[in-house]
Amino acid sequence: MGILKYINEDERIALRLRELYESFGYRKAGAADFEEYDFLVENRSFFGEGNIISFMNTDGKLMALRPDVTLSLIKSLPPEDPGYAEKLYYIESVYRYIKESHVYKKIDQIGIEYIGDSADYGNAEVLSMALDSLNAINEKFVLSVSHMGFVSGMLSAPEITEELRARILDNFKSKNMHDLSKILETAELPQELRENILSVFGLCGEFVSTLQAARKLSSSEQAIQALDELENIHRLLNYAGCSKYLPGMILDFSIANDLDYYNGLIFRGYVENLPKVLLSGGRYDSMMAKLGKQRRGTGFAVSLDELSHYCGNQRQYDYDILILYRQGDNMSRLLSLVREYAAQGRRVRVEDVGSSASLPFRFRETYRFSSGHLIREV
Amino acid sequence: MLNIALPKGRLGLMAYEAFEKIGYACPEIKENNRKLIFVNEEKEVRFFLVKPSDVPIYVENGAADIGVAGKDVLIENASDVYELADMGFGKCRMVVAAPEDYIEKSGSILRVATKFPNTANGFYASKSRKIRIIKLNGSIELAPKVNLSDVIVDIVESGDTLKENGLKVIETVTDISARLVANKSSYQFKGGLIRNIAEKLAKVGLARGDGNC
Repeated sequence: MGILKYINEDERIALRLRELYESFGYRKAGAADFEEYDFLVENRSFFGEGNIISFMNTDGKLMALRPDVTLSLIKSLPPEDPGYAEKLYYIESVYRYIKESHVYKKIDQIGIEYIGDSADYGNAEVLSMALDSLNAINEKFVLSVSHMGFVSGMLSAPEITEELRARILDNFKSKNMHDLSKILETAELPQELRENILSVFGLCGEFVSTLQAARKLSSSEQAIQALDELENIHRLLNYAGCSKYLPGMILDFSIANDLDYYNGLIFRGYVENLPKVLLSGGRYDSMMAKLGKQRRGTGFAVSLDELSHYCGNQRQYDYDILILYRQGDNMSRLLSLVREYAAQGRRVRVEDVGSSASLPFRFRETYRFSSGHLIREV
Repeated sequence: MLNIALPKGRLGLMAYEAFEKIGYACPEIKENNRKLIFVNEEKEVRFFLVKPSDVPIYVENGAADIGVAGKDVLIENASDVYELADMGFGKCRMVVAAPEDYIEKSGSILRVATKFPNTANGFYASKSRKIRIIKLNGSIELAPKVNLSDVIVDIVESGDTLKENGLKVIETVTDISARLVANKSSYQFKGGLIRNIAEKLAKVGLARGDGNC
């Protein structure tokens, strides 16, 4: 422990995650802070509208603060496959426009990228590390997993127009069954297709049984392939010593992409008592292809902002011990007591008894120092 | 403890009655007092009364696990929450209305007065119509009469207020009713309980069938 005892809980967790990623053979990567504006605009479909803070560089080139780390990391890779997997992790900031408050915000992330061709192993390794990451933060976690291939496969019928597909996915995302069924009715889809889409909607829950239910619905090759991939990942994890985590890993086909970012496996991680998504990731082969790289990629990021928010809520005390004293008491005895506690590694604060009412801190234990003795206050 | 955000006012009272019907009573809410938090220890639920447009904010940020909000508020805030049931009351329509003698001039930029700028923007963007939003906070019906705007986007129940101000409905933007929403993380950890409540409330909502706002 030593000096690490005094860093904040969120910093400690970030270090633990870093240790985890290092031990799986991931190397720390740095991405440039600035990107060429043109490059970002070309790849806008990966991070959405209104997201770029741009500025003129000294050479007159329009630059921007990066809105996404993965995009910048991939860009710097060589186009051809070097024949081995690239395993990278990063602790970086991204800059995004926050719709609710109409401001730009710096968002800190820690994440990994597995770039290589071994789809099965890569997927399973990344997912196992996502489970380890969540578990390191809170043992009560849920990792919900979906596959864009399955969802696309189920919605590939020619009757479903691009616009209708977007509306269906919107309602999937908000688990809005009542509006979805109205939309399907108005769109005059064949009865069977309508029922199928509504059943996909209900596919959420324990991994294995949900997968079996999904099998009964899927006829398209794309959907079946996606389910095979999910089943394979689950089996790999189960035999690889992750079985204790698997109750926390559920299937939820309502998770869908806002953007073109992920095109295969996609997942979101939650921990109890944190209201927002803490971890998100997936497979981004189409982004690799768009950037001209002949390999596949899977990765995830943990939001350090949400993590620090979570840890701030969990922290109960600012100090271990508060000692209140009166002027004129035995100061050398007081100091020697404080030194004793400090030597034990406890965080001690000493204050005049008069100031105790207005102290803006929380203490585990409070003592009153009187005639050379400490008296515990309850 | 399950935290439930309800909108203050008539909609909230109807929402509370639906919860009462499915076994989550907390009759103190009906007393006309100034309290904002009501607890039923035995059922382990806590109701908050908040400003109607704030319900999705409480839910999205996890201060409440679930809540009841009008579809108008959900569309306008584009809240990142699950929408689990149509409660079947608070029914009305979001419409485009204009003066009786209004004629659409498709080439010009349409001036739209509204309390719901995001909703109006989204609606006209889907039709590729150029508009200028004039954001107002009340008495929207006045805007076209005093040439502040060409049309308005607003909520109507019966249409009486529109008629009294010489306006007519041109288009429906969307149908509105009260919806049950849930925080996405709470849903992962209290999913069984939340799904159970949603199913029961949807049934109560279907049984009502009527219920204008």
